[in-house]
Amino acid sequence: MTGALSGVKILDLTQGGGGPYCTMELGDSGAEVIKLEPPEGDWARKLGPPFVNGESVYFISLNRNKKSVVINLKHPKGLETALDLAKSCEVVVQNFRPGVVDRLGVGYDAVRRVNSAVIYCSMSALDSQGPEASDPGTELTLQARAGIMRGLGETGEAPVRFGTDAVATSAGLYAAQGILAALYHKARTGEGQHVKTSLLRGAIHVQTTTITFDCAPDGGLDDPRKRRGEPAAGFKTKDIPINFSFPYMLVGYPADERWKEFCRRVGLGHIVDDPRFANNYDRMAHAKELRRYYEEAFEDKTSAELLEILEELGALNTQFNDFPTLFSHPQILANDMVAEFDHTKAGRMKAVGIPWKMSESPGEIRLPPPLLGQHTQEVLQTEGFTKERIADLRNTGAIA
Amino acid sequence: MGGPLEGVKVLDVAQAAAGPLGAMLLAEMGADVIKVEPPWGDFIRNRPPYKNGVDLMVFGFSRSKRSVVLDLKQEKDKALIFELVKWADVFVENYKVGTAEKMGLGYEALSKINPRLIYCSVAGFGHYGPLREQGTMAGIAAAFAGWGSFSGRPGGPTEQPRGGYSPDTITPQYTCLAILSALFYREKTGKGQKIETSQVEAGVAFLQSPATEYLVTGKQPQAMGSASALIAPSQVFPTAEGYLAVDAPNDRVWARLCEAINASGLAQNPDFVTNPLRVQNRRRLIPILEAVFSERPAAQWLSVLKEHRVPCALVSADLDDIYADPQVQSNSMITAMEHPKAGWLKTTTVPWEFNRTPGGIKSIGPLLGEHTKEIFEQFGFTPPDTTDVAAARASRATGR
Repeated sequence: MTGALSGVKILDLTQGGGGPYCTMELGDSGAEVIKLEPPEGDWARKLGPPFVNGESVYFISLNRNKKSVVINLKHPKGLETALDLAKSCEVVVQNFRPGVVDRLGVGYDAVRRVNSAVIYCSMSALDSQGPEASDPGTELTLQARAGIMRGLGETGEAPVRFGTDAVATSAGLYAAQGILAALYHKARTGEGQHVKTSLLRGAIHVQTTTITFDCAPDGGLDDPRKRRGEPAAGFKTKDIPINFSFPYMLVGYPADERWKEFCRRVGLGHIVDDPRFANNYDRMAHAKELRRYYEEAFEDKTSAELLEILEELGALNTQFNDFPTLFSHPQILANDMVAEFDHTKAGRMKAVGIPWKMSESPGEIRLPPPLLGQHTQEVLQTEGFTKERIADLRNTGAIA
Repeated sequence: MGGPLEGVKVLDVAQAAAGPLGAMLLAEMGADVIKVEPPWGDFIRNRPPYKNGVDLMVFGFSRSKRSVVLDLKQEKDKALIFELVKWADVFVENYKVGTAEKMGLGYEALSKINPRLIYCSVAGFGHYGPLREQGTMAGIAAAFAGWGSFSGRPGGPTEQPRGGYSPDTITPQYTCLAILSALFYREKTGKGQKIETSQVEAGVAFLQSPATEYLVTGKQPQAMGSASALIAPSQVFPTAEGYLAVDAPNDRVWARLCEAINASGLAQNPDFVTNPLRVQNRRRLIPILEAVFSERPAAQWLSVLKEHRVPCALVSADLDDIYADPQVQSNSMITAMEHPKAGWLKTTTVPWEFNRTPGGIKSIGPLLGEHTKEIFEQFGFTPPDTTDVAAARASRATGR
């Protein structure tokens, strides 16, 4: 069985976070991803510690299932080589700032001249129109301006970021969807097109519900205008912390009665009539005080005990896992979310598994993240470049 | 308006958020998505927030769909659903694991009726493993998937994000991706297939980089406030007035930042000349920058840094900031649509731009059963008496 995109060739000009995440998803789906890197390599290769045998773990996390070809696009023969590769690639993906690829000579129009049905995907930071369209934007600055930091930290204290590249990852996912939809359309009609998305557009789109709720006079418990004084942290128990967000789990049920029953069962009967905690809104407003009561009560109880009580009361809750707990949990292992592959320099490594399981065209880790320029020779030879031409390109510094 | 998926037919029996949003993405790429709801409506209806008596949650997850009410205990409605299965290219469900099979809507049964069907099943904790039958909601899946273990103030407690990024918005990204690749695969091979995914699997996959760091090094990534473990400076600084996010992702930007803040001595300082050195020496570097940024208001720093092409941003404290963001406005990322009862509602536009097959929002979202009559007639069935539907709804309400 092969991946869904088996036979699809992608010329990948992206670097960093979101672009490589997009092309990695397509690689996981079976596409042949030709990662075109400049002589100094994708800038993400430099990011660390941690490094393993000199290889950036951050780079490793985003670049499996790709082949690395080094081309100097500023060299005329390098540009020629890139456009020759583009001829036989169904898809070209780039995430430079708007205008850069056109200046380099590998923009949508230039590629379409050599490949009229190409699917060309452009990922930018701040989208294509507007006064700041060519400004640089990064994970941090996008989380800040798009309001992602509103969902973390405490009112009145320094902003906190979501510690993963959420904006970049989701932009990569939207871009992959756009490319796949364009591939479908092309399979039916022969027509390629230009697909665009941006970090900002993705970060706004995930807030659709929040934005629509803002139209309500009372946005409910999730009202984006209501200040939360309390970060959504786990609650310590005798062993593993638990996630405990009682109000949410009881929407539509008699929440207040169930909360009181919970309190009685964990030794907090004395707070059930406290006016500070009368209903869900009050309990949220006084979350800090409640936390102190809960943590004292949970100290001598195991997570299993507490979760059982909550389950009996019809309240969904679970463990608040850190990575050691998560990745050793049978649920994660049973669903194949820990994979392994052999890295050329760094040896056998664990990897995050593929979250979608397809019965006919499963995803797979076929290639480890490549060393810089590891496949230049192989890819160009397969493309039909003669040994002489390749040698000449190397000698002139057009490729490496 | 046409989208890349024009002509694709989706039967969506999923409820709440994660399942339906995947189908919504397909609808806005042009697919015809029929949403099947029980007489009492999708689980997510009839809960706050409300505007003019209309509950708003469904508009975040089921825009652009047609809604048909089917009471699957009635023979006629069961017959219609099997007609819909024959009609469909894609089927999306998110019942508790095992439930679809008991209802006669499992993959085995449906693929006999329609061998080309792409069947997508979205679970909570995963289709396998000891927790497979547990229900979940976004906050639960996030807590279990480790979303709360690496963000927060340095020194903790670690917290999980609220708002935009959540398993509710991220799971559909992977669902949509897998369905699209299955559609492409089917174009090439004629084969349908079963796709399985879940909130926890998607949640884990979304944490690709920090999760990989743990899997490769054995170390849990630490909470760093707004800072980055890999890049310095890359964090939010307090200023004379307000906060400012400043990012120097490489040495060229670092040099420009030093110029912008008039600190050429800093640019020359051998302890800070490369990113790895800046990261290593951050405890000396950051206080220097904090002192500089405290001298002027954030808005002033913003224009100075932008002039020097240093990535920077104000930290949005309120939804009004994103409504006023010039890039959000210039690129029409937020729009308003009119609902017959609720009036004008703000929402987002689609997250991808296709230059040949634009796609787009078809409608703000269906009322419960809004298209029942139309769909029954489309398939040659007599539409139900509306009093039957109301009675079924009433009997369910008193049965609670």
